[in-house]
Amino acid sequence: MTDEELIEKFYEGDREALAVIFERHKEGVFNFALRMVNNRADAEDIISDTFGRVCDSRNKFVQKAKFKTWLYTIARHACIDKIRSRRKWGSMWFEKKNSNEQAQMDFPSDDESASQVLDRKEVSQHIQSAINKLPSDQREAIMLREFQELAYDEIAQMLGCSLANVKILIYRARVQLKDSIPAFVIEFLSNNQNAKSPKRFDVDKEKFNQEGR
Amino acid sequence: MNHEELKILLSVYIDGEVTPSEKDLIENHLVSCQSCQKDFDEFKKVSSSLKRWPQERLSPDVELNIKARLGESKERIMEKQEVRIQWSAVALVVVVMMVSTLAFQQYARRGLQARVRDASSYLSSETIALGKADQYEPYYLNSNYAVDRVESQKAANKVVRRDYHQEGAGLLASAPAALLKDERYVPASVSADTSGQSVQYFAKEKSIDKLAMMRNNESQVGYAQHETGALAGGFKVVEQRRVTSEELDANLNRNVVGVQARKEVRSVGDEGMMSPNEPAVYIYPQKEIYPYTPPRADAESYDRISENGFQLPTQEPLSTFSIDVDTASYSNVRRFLSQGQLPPADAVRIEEMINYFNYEYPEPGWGQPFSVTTEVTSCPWNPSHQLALIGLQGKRLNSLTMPASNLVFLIDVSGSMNNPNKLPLLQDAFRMMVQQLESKDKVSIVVYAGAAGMVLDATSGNYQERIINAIDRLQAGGSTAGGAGIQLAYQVARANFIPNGNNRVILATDGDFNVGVSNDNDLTQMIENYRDQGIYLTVLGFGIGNLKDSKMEKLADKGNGNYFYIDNINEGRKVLVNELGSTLFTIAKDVKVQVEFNPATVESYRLVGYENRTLAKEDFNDDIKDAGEMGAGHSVTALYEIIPTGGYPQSQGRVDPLVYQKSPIIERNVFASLDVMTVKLRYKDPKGTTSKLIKKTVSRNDIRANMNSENMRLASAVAEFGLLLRNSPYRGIASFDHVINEVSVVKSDKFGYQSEFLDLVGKAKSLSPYSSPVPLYADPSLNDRYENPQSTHEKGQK
Repeated sequence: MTDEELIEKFYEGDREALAVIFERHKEGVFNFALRMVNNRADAEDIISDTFGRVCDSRNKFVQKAKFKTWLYTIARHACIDKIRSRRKWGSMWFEKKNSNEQAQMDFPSDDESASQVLDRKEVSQHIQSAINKLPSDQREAIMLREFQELAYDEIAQMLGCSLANVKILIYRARVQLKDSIPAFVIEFLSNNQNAKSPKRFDVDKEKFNQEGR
Repeated sequence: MNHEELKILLSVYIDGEVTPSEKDLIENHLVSCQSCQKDFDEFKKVSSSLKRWPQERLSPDVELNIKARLGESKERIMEKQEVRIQWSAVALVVVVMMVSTLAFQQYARRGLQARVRDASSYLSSETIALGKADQYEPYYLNSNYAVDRVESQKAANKVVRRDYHQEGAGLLASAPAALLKDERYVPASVSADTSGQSVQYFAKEKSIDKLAMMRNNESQVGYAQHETGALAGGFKVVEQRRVTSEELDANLNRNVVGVQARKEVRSVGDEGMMSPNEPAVYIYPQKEIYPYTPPRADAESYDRISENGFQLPTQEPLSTFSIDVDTASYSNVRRFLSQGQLPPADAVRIEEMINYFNYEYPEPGWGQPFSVTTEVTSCPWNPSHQLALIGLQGKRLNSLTMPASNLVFLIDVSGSMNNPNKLPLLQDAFRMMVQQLESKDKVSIVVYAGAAGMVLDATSGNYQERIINAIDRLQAGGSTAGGAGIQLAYQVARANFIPNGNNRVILATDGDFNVGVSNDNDLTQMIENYRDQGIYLTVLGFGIGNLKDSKMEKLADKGNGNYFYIDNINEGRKVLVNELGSTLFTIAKDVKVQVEFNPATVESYRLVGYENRTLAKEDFNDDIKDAGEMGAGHSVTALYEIIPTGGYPQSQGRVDPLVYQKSPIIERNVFASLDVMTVKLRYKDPKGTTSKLIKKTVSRNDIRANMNSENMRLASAVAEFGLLLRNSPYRGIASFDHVINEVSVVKSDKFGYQSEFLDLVGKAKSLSPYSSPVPLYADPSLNDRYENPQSTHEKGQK
């Protein structure tokens, strides 16, 4: 059952349907938020806020776009709201150092060994700092592309810009990232078969092989 | 299409978002263009890396929270927020209530201690303390406390002498008259200690296993006593079977005295002194019966002490030892006696008992860290012998000359500290100490139990409230990892190091080092390392039953520090308030004493105490050899028992005359010197590395037979008491009565230490099976004294 069908069911009164949607997208939205604001507490607020807005009956999803696009648009707005309020109130509470610590604090799953956790953290740190150096529009574009796997036109819709613009944003982000992410991190991630989402990568590779070669 | 556009297309191509024509274009280009091929590979890698960027997990709490709210409409959510505001108001109220409850508990607890104290003085003397029940401030913080306590004891003394005609001075009583009239019991000792009263009875009949209970008519007030009397409350509870409050309630109302007997009871006819193992009945007037666990003496560890024997100056003219300013042994002995048992002999370190007291030695001269006093007189426990006193008085510092302190309290908060005699006592003591601090001083607090952690970062003495708050927050629980705590404490001390200041870790523990750096060698190594960096260690011992006495003394010794045993709040006051200077400020280090005896005047000599402090004679001039430290205002006293030449020859027959040396044949007439001994002292300045020497000679003409100074009188009496407690083979005609007589004469008793000492002697007398002197010598004239020790002493004093 697609997200679109599920949300329709939810509007008909099936609350379980929304729970399924949440299960599908919780990690994606949370990590999107986390990488946007780089602060765990804020990211938790954002995901909570996002799904609150999804429930909001005054702001119904209409079958104009994909549900995922709509969801991430909401999440993006929640992020922007958060960043604004943080700028307004925050500088004295959320120092960069602190917020970084916040992002570090995590909940390792039980099957990870300590060294795996540390590897993961280190890699995360390097990528995060590379991502943080990107201008915000490039950052959004590349994240929606690489993590949320949205199509270019969806991204364009979300960001409210032209398709050509999205292409350029993503290209520029890649040019910068290939220099700013340390080579060993790239090596680690491309060699490590046990990385977090190997399945997704494999699918991607297949797709790539079919299309590219 | 230019190259830049091609590269953008390349990026799009990776994402599979190209039209078929673009795809052909880019694939053809890739074959020919090296740079694009390289970019393509890199983009691919970046892209796949980013896709594999491990995701963080949403925290389960948040997830649950959101799930619970899913599907609620916006309106509901808004409502809920309003509700939440109300809830937060409720939460605020709850927090306020909790805080005030805690504050009240704290207040009430302090108040209770004061009331308990008041009750005890009320019990001991009705003329005093009537008004004090209203006083809820901790009374021991009041400067009148010591004075009042002494006075109340004096008053109680009078009552006893009038009512009960107890033999010997210093015995006090406020026992319920009803109990005294009961024929089944005979008062064994009725005495009051500093912390209140413990009234001890021996039952006359055998096999009393029935509870006897009666109303306490004299004292309407009574409180529970915890083990050793740190709460200074009512009476002591030492019994085998517990009296339940139901039992008491069933028999009488709540103001009762529970009397309990052990089953095996000694017979009446046996007039000898009673040993602590004899069945005893302790009474404890109190409202509720608190569970009491008898101290497990077996878990305490003491190093074996074998007393110094007599040495012949002909064979070993030099006696060398390191000073010892510790006083822990005395407090420990007091704790045992207050509990109604004699201390184990190895827990009695005579030098520490002597050094517990203040002596009135002259102030050191300008530029000298300490003064040296010598005195020789006749030996109280063996009139044919002489007793030589060597007294050192360290320079006193006032608050202006005191260097700044960087103190790190390292506090054991393990489960074993969860006892009124340990953590709460420690907190009380530290609270008092903190009040002595000044703005230039810094205090940090590190705690350790299962893990070590800092609860207070370095805080100036100005912010006493903050420090006291941190102390108040301490709670016991968990197991002990002493090692890790010590490491952290030293790190904190080093981080806050004050050059030329007093940098010190103050370890407060019951000595339980279970985990961490338990390896003694590693621990002492570390302590020595930091000592060389100028960070010293003071050890405060708390509690009973689990006390690792030997270990703690060694640790303090290695850390250039001192070791105190704190058994009640008065001791805490003595160590941390009255004598803070000596506790914390070293004025001379590696102080060694070497005495050379003149064979012409000294037949043989014996160092009293200092058994674990003796040094080899070569060590005296060896500046590398570590020795004891002297704190500001410290006084150190050492006693030598001397057998003069011409007296009864003790040494005869014990050591065969030397064959190859001339010296045994003393040319007494040729050797014109009348010197008894030459006292040499070596010490280093606190930061110095080379030692300085002080010499002093004592001539026979200096000996004043019966003109004892107060210093001598007090020191010798304490030593005599120690010999009795140790059941020393050198105790001669020493007796508890004589100790009492001697100390009663000493006038100066500024802090009430002497009157407390008298109580202890009284208790020990009642407990000790050795109160009658044992003939040691074949000399019939001496034996005559044994028959009549009292008359001998009277003769001796005239």
